[in-house]
Amino acid sequence: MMVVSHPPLDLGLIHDARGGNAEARDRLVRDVYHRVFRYFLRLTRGREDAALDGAQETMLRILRALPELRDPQRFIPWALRIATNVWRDRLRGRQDVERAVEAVVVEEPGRRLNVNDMLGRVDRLPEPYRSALTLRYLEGLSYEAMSEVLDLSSGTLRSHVARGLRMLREEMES
Amino acid sequence: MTDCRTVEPRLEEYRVDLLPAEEKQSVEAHLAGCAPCSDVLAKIRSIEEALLQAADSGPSRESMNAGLARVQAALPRKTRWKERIPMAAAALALLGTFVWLLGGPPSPPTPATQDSKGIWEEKRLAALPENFDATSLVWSPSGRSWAGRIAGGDKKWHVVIDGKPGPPFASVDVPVFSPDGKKAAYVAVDADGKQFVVSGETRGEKFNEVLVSRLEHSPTEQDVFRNRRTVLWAPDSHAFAYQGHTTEGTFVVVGTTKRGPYRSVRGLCWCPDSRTVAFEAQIASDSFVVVGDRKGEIFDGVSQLTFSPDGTSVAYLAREGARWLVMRGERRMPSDGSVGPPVFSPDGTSLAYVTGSEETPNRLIIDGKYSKMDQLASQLADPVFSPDGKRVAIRAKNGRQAFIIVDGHGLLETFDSVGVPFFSPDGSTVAYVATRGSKQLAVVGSDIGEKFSKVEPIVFSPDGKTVSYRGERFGKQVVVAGKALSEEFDAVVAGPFYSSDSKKVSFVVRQGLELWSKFLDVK
Repeated sequence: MMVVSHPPLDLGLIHDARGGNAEARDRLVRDVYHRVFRYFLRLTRGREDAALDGAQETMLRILRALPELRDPQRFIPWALRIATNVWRDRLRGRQDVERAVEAVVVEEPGRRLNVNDMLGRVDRLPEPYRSALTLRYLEGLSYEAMSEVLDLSSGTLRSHVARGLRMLREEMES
Repeated sequence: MTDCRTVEPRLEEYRVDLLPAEEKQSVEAHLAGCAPCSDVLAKIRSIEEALLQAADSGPSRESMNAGLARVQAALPRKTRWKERIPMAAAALALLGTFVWLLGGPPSPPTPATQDSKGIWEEKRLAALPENFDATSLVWSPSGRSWAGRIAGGDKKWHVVIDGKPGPPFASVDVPVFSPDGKKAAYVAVDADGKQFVVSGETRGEKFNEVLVSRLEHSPTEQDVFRNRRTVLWAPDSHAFAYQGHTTEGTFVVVGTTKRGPYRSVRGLCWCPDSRTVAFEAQIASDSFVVVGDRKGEIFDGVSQLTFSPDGTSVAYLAREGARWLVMRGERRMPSDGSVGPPVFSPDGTSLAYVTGSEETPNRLIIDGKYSKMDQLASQLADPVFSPDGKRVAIRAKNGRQAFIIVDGHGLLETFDSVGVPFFSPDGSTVAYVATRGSKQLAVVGSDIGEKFSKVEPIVFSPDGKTVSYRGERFGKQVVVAGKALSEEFDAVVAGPFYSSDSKKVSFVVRQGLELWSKFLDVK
C-alpha cells in the first residue's frame, strides 16, 4: 500500500555537509528542501507564505544541528522532526489562531475528488490527525519513522491515522 | 463483534492494523458476509489511494524555487528571515479571525415536553429485526413510530417503518419523519445508481444525486457544510424539499415543482410559515439568495441565510471581493470586513452579528450599533438572544481560554472551548456545553456537570429550574435529569423530554435489538 517513493538521499552528501563542505551543504539543501517545504505546506494548511517561512527556518536549523545527527540513515525523520518543532514553536501561544483556522468545508455536489480536494481535506483536519496522515501517506514514512518525527508511540500514531481516515470518510460520505 | 454497528466504526482501525488478532478475525468474518461494510472498507482504501496520489503532487516549481532561493540567500545572512515572522503571524491571525467568524450558531435547544405522547411507563416498545441496521434507527417526533433500514435476503435494502418493510432497492438512506410524525421520506438508489425520493407510494424524479446541503452545527466543533442524502420537511409537514443533481446542474425540488438548474445550491431551508423555501444559489460566477420566487442581489458569494422567526424577513452574509457584509433583506448593515452569521431576536425585530478586521478587534453589533462589553475578548462568535430578546450571550476566546459573555460581562469559568450558549425559558440562566481536555461538560449558570466523552442536547425544564441531557461514556449512553442519573443504555434514541410539571423526563432507549420507553424522576 505504501508506494510513495522519494529519491534516496546521498548519505555521503550528509557526511560531507556535516564535515563543513559548503558545496555538499548546498546540494543537501537542494535535495531536501522540497520535502521540508511540502511537509510545512500541510502543517500550515496550504498557506504558502507561512510554509516558506517555516521551511526556511527549518533548513537553517537542520544545517546548524547537522553535526549532532547520529545516524545519517535516519536523516529524513530527523529533519521532519526539526520541521515539526519549528512549527510547534511558531504555534506556541497562538493556539487560538490554529484552532480558528478550522475552516468551513464547502462542497459542491457531484464533484469528483481530485488531488487538490484531498490535500484540502487533509489541511482541514485538526491536529494530531493532520500530521499523522501527512507523514504516513504524503511523506510515506513507516510508523517507526513517524515515531521519531512526532515522539509518539507507534500505537498512538496508528490510532491517529485511523481517526484521520475516519474523519475524511465521514466528510466525504456526508 | 458481529453487527455492522460495531464493525463499521472500527474499519479504519482494522485497516491500519490496530485491532487485536481476535477482533481482526471477527471483523474479517463479518466483512466476508456484509456488502455494506465491504463497501465502507473499499471507500477507506480509495481514500488511502487518493492520499498517495496527492503525495505525488507538490507545490508549484515557482514556489519551490523561490523558497529555495530564499534559503540559499539566508545562509550567509541568517538574520534576514526572522524579520518575516511578524508578517506571517499577521496573515495567520487575519485568516483565523475571518474563518472563525463564519461559523454559525446551532439553534438553541428548546424545552420539550412529551405529555401528549403518553410514554410515562417503562415498557418494551418494539423488537428490531435481526438484520436491522441499528445505526439507521430514527424515532418519529410524535414519539409513536420508529424507522430504519434492513438488509433483505436478496441483497437489497428496505426501509422499515414500525416493523413493516418497504420495497427493495439497491440502497436506501435513513428515512426522515415529517414533524407531525405522520409521514416519512427517504432517498433510494436504483441498480443503475440513480437516486430518487420515496414517500409512501410516491417515487420522485430520478437524479444523479439527491441531497440537502446545509451548514451543520456542533456544540463544540467547527460548523461544516455537509451534503446529506436526505430531504427537508416543511415545519407544517405538508411537503418536503431537496436538491436534485444532474449533469445540467442542481435543481431545487419542492413537492412537484422543480427550479433550476443552478451551478450550486446550499443552505436550503423552509420559511417558518411553511409557505416557501429559501436557498443560496450560484449561476456562473453570480451568487445570490432565492427566497420564494424572489432572487436577491448578486454578490461574489452568499452564505448563512436565515429567516426571522416570524418568517417576514431574511438576513445573510454577502461577499464583495474579499469583503463580507451583512444583508438584512435589501439593507446593508455595518461591517468591518469580516462578519459572523446574523441572528434574529425571537420577535424578529433585532438582528445581532459579530464583525471585525485585521485592524479592529471583533465587535458585537445589534441593530446596526456597537454593543459595549466590559470584558475584552480577542474572538467573539455566535450571539444568542434570550427568549424575551432583552439579553444577549456570546461565545468568546482570549488566547487559550474560552468563555461566555452575557450582557457584556464575561463569566468567570473558562474552558478549552465553549459551545453556543442558550437561555432558560425565563431568560435568567445560561447553559452551554464546554470542553476540558477530551471531556465535555454541561454548564448551567455556575454549575458544572459531570464529565462525559459527549454531551447532547441540553434542554431546560419548562420551569427553567433544571436541565436534562444525554451523556456518553465508554460507548454507552445515560440520561441526566437535574442531579438524577439513569442507568446505562446501548443508545438513547429519543429525548429526554420533560413532563409539563418539570418533575419527570421521558426517553426512548435501545438495548440490543429492543426499544424501550424509560423515564426518570428529576432530582
